[in-house]
Amino acid sequence: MFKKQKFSENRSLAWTVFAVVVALTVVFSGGGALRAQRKAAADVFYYGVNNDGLCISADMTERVAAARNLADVAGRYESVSADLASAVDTAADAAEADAKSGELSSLATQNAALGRAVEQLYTELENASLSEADTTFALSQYKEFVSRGLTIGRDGYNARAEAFNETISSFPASVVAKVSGVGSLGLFR
Amino acid sequence: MKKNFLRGLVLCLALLLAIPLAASASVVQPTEMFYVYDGANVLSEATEATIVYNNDTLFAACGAEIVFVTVPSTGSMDISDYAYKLFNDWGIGSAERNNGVLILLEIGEEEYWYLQGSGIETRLTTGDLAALVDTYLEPDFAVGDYDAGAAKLFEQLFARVANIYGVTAHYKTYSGFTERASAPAATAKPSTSSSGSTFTPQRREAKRSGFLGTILKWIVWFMIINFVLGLFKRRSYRRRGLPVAALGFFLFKPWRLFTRRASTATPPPASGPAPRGTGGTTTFSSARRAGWYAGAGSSVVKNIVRSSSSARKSSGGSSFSSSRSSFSSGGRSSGFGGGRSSGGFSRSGGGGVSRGGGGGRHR
Repeated sequence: MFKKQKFSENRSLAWTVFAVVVALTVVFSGGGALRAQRKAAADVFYYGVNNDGLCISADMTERVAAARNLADVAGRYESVSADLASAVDTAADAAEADAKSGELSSLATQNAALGRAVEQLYTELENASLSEADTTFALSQYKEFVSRGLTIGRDGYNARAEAFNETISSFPASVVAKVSGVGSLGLFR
Repeated sequence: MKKNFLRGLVLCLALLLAIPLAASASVVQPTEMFYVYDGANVLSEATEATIVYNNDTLFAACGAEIVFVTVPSTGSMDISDYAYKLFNDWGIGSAERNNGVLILLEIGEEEYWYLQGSGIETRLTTGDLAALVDTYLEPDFAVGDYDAGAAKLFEQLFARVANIYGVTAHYKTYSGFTERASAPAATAKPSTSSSGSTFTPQRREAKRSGFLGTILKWIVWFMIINFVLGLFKRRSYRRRGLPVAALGFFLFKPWRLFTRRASTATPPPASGPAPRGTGGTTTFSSARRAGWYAGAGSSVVKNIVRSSSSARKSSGGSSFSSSRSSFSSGGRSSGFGGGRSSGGFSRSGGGGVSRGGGGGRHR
């Protein structure tokens, strides 16, 4: 005859409860730690290594502004392909949207795309017959654009993001990250 | 014989590895003039003197430093990376304001790069620098008149930076270093912050390595390798109860690698395993050797360390007469490996940093 076990003596149930508790602990505390580490890296993106505002976020704002200025200059000359200027504006819009929504991985991709679009546009601007003022202005905006790109590539955020990505790609952090929904960070270099 | 050969081989390999370490990607070191480094020998003395003396004024007024560097080549480094490393290694601009500006001319490749400190990049943007460089440097640079371009650009940068900080700094041209008066030529009003306090820029200790520094590094490496290799002899000395770690340096005699082993270092007679540290039944010769190692040995090590550090200090302060005549009471001399001038005007970086943007003429 099958003997009914007491709840407190049910070994299978005990193991099940144990497994659930362990899983919840791993997800919440392990995932929480990963989230904290990710936030620390993201804070550098928004506020700077020394919390002084010298950060990629500010650099991206200037970089996008310089790109749009170049597109504006191009828009004044029919000899410059409108598609190139349009491509720059599109990439700039996408970058701004990602920056606003905090999608850093997507923003890194858009930054690279913006760089390619600006290079193509500026090559055409160099060959076009611009006025002296526009030539000087285009040069200054292009140099500003490139300079911001270099600064972004050298920012301390990239090292922190890289370290974080390495952490969540190794076992067992990779499992915790997947379960907790903690994603990798985009690199801007 | 085989053991000596192996030791020699290890030592040679270690020294060979140290060579690329010593010669790894590096930038030029600043001279005592600091504000101008004419490695490519394209700048006239008048331009150099103008840059140096006006920078003295500017630094005193607002901590800003505008440095011109010419090099024949940046080697394997990209010019932007070279400029970035040079800027931060030299510490251009004051540490408080990070307001340095670097103009790097790579004559061999006919390229240049300009870079500003992180504290001034919003008020003197790369775009602003690009416009200035394109107007005042590029026309002369393109035809090979680097000196004229540098002089014109420096004057404009001086005016722009002084304007940014609202200082009244009078720009003056000089025909050479002999013309220098005893006091700064310009009456620069020290800049004041909005709270009314006066900004006094501080210079940081100049980082110098130089030739003597490299030699010292090699000596230290040699000592380390010597010590490690000497530990291979630990077994025979451990039996005698000698402190092996302290003796490591003296157990390896590198000159014996290439000569026949002399009979001086004969191992002690095996008298059975002696208790460590008790002395036991050691012979007279081993006891005397122990005394030499324990007493004089450590003091020899101390003397070596002491002489290294004094050599380092003397490299910073020693001087030899430069080709240019001295000025004022202190005189101006070039240190061996750089360093502060003896008693006169001291020039070095203020400790400023750059975030590494900038722009230039670069393929």
